[in-house]
Amino acid sequence: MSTSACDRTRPELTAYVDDELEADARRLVVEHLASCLSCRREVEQLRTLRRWLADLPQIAPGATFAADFARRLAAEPKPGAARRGRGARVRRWVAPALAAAAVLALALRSFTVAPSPPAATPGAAPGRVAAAPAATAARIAAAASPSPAPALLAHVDRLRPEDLPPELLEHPELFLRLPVVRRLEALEHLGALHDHDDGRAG
Amino acid sequence: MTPSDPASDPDVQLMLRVRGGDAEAFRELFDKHGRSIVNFAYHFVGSRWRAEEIAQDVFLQIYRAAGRYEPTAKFTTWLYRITTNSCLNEVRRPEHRHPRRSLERAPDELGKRAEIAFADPAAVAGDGALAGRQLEAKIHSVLDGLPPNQRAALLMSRVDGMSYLEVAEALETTESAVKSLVFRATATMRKELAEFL
Repeated sequence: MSTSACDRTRPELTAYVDDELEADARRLVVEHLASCLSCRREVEQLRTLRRWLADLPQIAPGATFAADFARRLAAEPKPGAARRGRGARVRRWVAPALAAAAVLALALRSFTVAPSPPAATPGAAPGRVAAAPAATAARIAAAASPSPAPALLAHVDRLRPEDLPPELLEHPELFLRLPVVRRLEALEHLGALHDHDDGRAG
Repeated sequence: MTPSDPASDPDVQLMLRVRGGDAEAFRELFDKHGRSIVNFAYHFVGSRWRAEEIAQDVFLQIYRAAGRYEPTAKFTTWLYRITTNSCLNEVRRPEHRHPRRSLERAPDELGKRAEIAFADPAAVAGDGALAGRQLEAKIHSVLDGLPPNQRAALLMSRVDGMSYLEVAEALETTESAVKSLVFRATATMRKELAEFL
């Protein structure tokens, strides 16, 4: 058989022995082997190698393998429980902090928001209100979106990866790198700051 | 070839039960695959005790990730992916040695050496059991010298009987890349083991 035919076939022989060739490629190899003693010998060697590897003796795990693993496993929280546990940890500290934030927000609102709507300025277009003095506007803006309570921010700032809700466990380092206010927003978005109500109801 | 539907994999069903907190399902997976993973790791890293540690670490990783598990492939694909990564990390550690499998090792270090001699020495050319042990030691020596990705592909394909597609999924590469890895690994083995062939 010509060398070029062998050169074309030899790279396919390993996959042929592994029965991993597509039908057309396999047919070409079979045709070549029918007339090439050298490649048939190579196939025999590849089959022997394959058998040796498949027959490599298997070791039995040591006598304490399963018990050692069971001991390590016992120290792990259950998958479902782990999720609930982490959520519960977040909720435990969030509940009082959130209450404090709500109180603070209400207090800010009662001190800064005018008791009645501003009067329309004569001559102004319907539906528009007169511009409030800058200081008042700032106070109204602050009341409309009150800053989180310092205690809540401090708690969020102290969060560890194991305290995070499951949605954040994939990449906790990314979450913990966020500014604390962004972290708080993320927790709010995920409902982690409100779950305590559900928990109590249950 | 196309990947099979993960939902039809009974191990995936067990893993979904683990996700729901079913410890018995996890025990079933461990009992079913623990030994294979120890063996794969042993053939890969060459140390029995490290292989057992790696296998335990792999199953702990799986257990910890169970809450986020989504079946996107066969369970064994995921299992071998994690195991291969753990083995690669192990052999890349600067302190990693190839501690195994030399015939020169003291008998007490050999552990159950007799157990890991070829079951059928007659299958090996030469002088029976001794030739079988020499061949086995040589095979392990050649395996240790293969580039890790070739070693991983060869072990999964030849020792664990996985298809090229399954190996490709476990190694997160293509079937043609696996074909090439196995081809090159086999060529090295054929050359290094020529005296036995």
